[in-house]
Amino acid sequence: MANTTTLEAEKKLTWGGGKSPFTVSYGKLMMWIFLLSDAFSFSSLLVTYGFIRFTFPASGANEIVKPLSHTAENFVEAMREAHLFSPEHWPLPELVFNHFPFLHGLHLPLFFVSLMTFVLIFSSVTMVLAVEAGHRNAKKEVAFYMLLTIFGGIAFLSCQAWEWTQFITEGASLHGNPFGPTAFAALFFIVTGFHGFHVLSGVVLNFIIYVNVLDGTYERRGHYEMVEKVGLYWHFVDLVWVFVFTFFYLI
Amino acid sequence: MEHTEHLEHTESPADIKKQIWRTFWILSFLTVIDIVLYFALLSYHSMWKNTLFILLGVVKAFYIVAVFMHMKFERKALAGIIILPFMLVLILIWLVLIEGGYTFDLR
Amino acid sequence: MSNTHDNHDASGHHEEHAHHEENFVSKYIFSMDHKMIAKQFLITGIIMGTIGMLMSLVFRLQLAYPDTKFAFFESILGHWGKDGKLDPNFYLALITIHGTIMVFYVLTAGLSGTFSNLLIPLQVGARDMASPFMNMLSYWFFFISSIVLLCSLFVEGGPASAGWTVYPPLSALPKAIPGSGAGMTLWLVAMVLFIVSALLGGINYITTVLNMRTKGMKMTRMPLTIWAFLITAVLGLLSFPVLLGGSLLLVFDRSFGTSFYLNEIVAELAGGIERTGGSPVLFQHLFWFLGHPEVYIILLPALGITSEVIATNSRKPIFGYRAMIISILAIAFLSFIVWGHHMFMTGMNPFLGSVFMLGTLIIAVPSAVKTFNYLATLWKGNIKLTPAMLFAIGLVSFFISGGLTGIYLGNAALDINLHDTYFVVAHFHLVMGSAAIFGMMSGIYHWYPKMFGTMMSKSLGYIHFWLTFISAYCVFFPMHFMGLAGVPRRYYANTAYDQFNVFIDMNQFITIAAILGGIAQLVFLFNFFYSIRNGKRSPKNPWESNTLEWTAPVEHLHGNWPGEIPHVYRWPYDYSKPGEESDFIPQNIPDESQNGDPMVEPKAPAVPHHTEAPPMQAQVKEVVMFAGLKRLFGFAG
Repeated sequence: MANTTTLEAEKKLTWGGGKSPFTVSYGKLMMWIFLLSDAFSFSSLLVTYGFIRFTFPASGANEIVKPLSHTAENFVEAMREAHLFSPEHWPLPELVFNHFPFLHGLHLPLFFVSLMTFVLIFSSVTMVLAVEAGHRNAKKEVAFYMLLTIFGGIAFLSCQAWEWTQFITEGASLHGNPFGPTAFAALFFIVTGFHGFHVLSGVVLNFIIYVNVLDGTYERRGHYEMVEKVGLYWHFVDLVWVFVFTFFYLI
Repeated sequence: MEHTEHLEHTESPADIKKQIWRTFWILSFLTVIDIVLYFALLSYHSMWKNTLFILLGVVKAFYIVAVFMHMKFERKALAGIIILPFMLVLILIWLVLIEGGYTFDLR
Repeated sequence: MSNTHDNHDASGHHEEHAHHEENFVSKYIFSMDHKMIAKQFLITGIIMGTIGMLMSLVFRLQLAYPDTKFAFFESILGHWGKDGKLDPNFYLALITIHGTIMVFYVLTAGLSGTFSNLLIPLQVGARDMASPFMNMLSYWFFFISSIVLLCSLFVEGGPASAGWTVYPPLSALPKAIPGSGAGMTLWLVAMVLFIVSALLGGINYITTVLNMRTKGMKMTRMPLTIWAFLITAVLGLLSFPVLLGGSLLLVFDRSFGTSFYLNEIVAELAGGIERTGGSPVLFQHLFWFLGHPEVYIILLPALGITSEVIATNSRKPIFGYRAMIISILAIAFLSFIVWGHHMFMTGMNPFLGSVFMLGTLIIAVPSAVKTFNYLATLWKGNIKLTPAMLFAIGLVSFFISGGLTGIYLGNAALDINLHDTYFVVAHFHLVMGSAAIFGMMSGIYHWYPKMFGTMMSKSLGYIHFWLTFISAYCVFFPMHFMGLAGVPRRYYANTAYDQFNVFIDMNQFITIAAILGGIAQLVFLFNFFYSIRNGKRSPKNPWESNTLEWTAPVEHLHGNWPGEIPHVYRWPYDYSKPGEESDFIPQNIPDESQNGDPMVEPKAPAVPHHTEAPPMQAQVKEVVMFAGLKRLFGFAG
């Protein structure tokens, strides 16, 4: 009984004003709220993707190309002839995203994008390690992990650039592609582009924070909350990628 | 402030690091499961496969939000104000996808 | 509070000190003080509102006198008004920009931007917004957005003309109509800037309300204004990004050759374009996912202001404080699941039509709760008819008369007849246009002393109210009948169709009423700008109100309160509390039972006992009511 009253008293104190009910600073709360709202903008794009995809029939099953097999030079034309690529239906992602750098001519669906996923997850880990080091005010460790995170971000962006280049050289553009409906390539460019733009701004933010860490700004301030805030943003970018990965490559 | 100074301070840095790496392995494992399932079910197409992939995505999202973004250690109220509004998106997805299917039927 | 006087002196000193530090630019232009930003929002909003209203007068003249030539059209509109005849394309541009300005620039930024900025820190007891810098950015994005929108009036082809909802294909194909070119591009740029401004503002408002309340300001002690602003900010935060996504895709459709919103029907109609695979209905889904919450983004702050003004001027606690909060939350939630009621006629899936219809009709419940709570608050109150109070009551009136037609429009079957007619125009101009404008006016009259330290003229306020009230009803009420007869909205000249010729007199009546309404606003503009310098000096708490902002000194200082921020000991509606000498007890006055601890609830009942009506009488009333119901059903059966 006594326990419940203290709990209740505590609850009253929590929302009673004079302090944050979540015990987070206003900056962190702002970042959370911003991410909530940004999640809605990504959702609107993914919903568009879902809508347009639902308006097209699914492709027939691929019985021709096996993973790890060699692909012909005129792969795309062959697929068109086999009616696996056609403007009438949505293409199978395995037949479109099947390249890997330096392994030209092999059918390697999903390998490259899995690599990208790992890069991003790993950079998320280094980010959270930087945050953890920040709690201990360990300046050198924070800087080290921030640098790793920045490299991770740049690596991801480079991967994306390579994939876009590959996609474009095969003839994809915003108003047409050899794989299927126009909207297929357009949506791919816009959604991954919007995500990539977020990664890019994340890298820029991380770089600014990294410079500030080296400069000792946060050491003088006494806490590394700024690292936590960009950390939240960075994980959010990772989070979005999980769904981009699921919807564009797996399904 | 006294009683709410983040829960994490009760844990040692080593514990937190352990937890971070554990989460990393969980996420990697889930991604590997994604890939394995993808190849295992390559010629099998159904709603269930897609649902499975989406569920795996949601589980990954849960770990990223809970551990990496620290939500597990924040107050429940914060989780509430972030996650509950997000549920509205589900309504958007649900209704717009129905509409997409209907548009398909009309064509 | 015996030390108020000392504080007052200290504040004067503080102010003087501040003057030395701040120059003109940092004080009036790039100000980071929430009170100054509120004034910037308000004045920009008023300017935009004036422009929007003048536009409406121009197209009202066209609708009333389609065959008359107005020489002054040519002198003010140039080639858009050649020989005194309004260009049909420019007519479309005018209604588009009128809608855009009124919905976004006046009633979103001008209303919630102004009063959220002014009242949130003052009423929750904070020194300023959580991030004053972001607050300043929010205003400047809004300002640039306004400039871009106004610039679009001067580009070749004229401003955007696809209606304020910018449906594709008119908006997606730059060659569709003259306004679809550069004007549409600028519209989209303006909208993106506006969304950024709304998000920066919204994040700030939510954080400030949640994180920066003064000690004792529990969520259930917050004035209803703050609740309304909080939920408004949440609505904006969740819905604007979806429009951002939708507009992004629209930009790609316009400029980069994608076809998200174009299908074979459109391609065939436009001729010569090979762009298919999308759906114009998709844009409508994305747009209205913002668009419907937007209606409540407009309305909720007005309702919040009204709650506060009605309670203060009835000298009674607001009736059903918690019911008010719950109905705000319910409205907010429901507003996200009803967007399709704008789209019944688009060929949308009929199943969705029934889902959206159900949600739409349910919104009537919380709205009715609010309406009846206002009426119950007024009931037997010691009503002081200040101009602010009149406008607040006017809001309730519009909310009822416009809301009732919403019940008709929410029915998918009836919408077949009523969609895109003047019935819809009448409905939303009453329920969200006039009601929200009246809420805004109410707020301006009520908090003017807080903003400028002077009082507006009461007599001019009365003139303004009555002229506006009468003219608003005269303008919008007859439109119902035109709508029922099937007169479509957005048409350049209804007389082109013989069956609508009967409405020409009515159109002239509406236009004359609209001009009268316009003249009434001149009274307001004069009153507003004249009183800034020449108004009577305001006392600290001119309306004897309970909320915290009236405990701050009249002179504005950075940080709002000299010395410590007052603590809050009670809810904001302790008016006419039984057994108390004063008929109002500000929130910062402790109750004896609290022993100085703001966290404890005061012992005395918060609501006065209504002993006037003996229980017998209440019973009798009930019997009469049920008898009436019986008769009604008997009659119907």
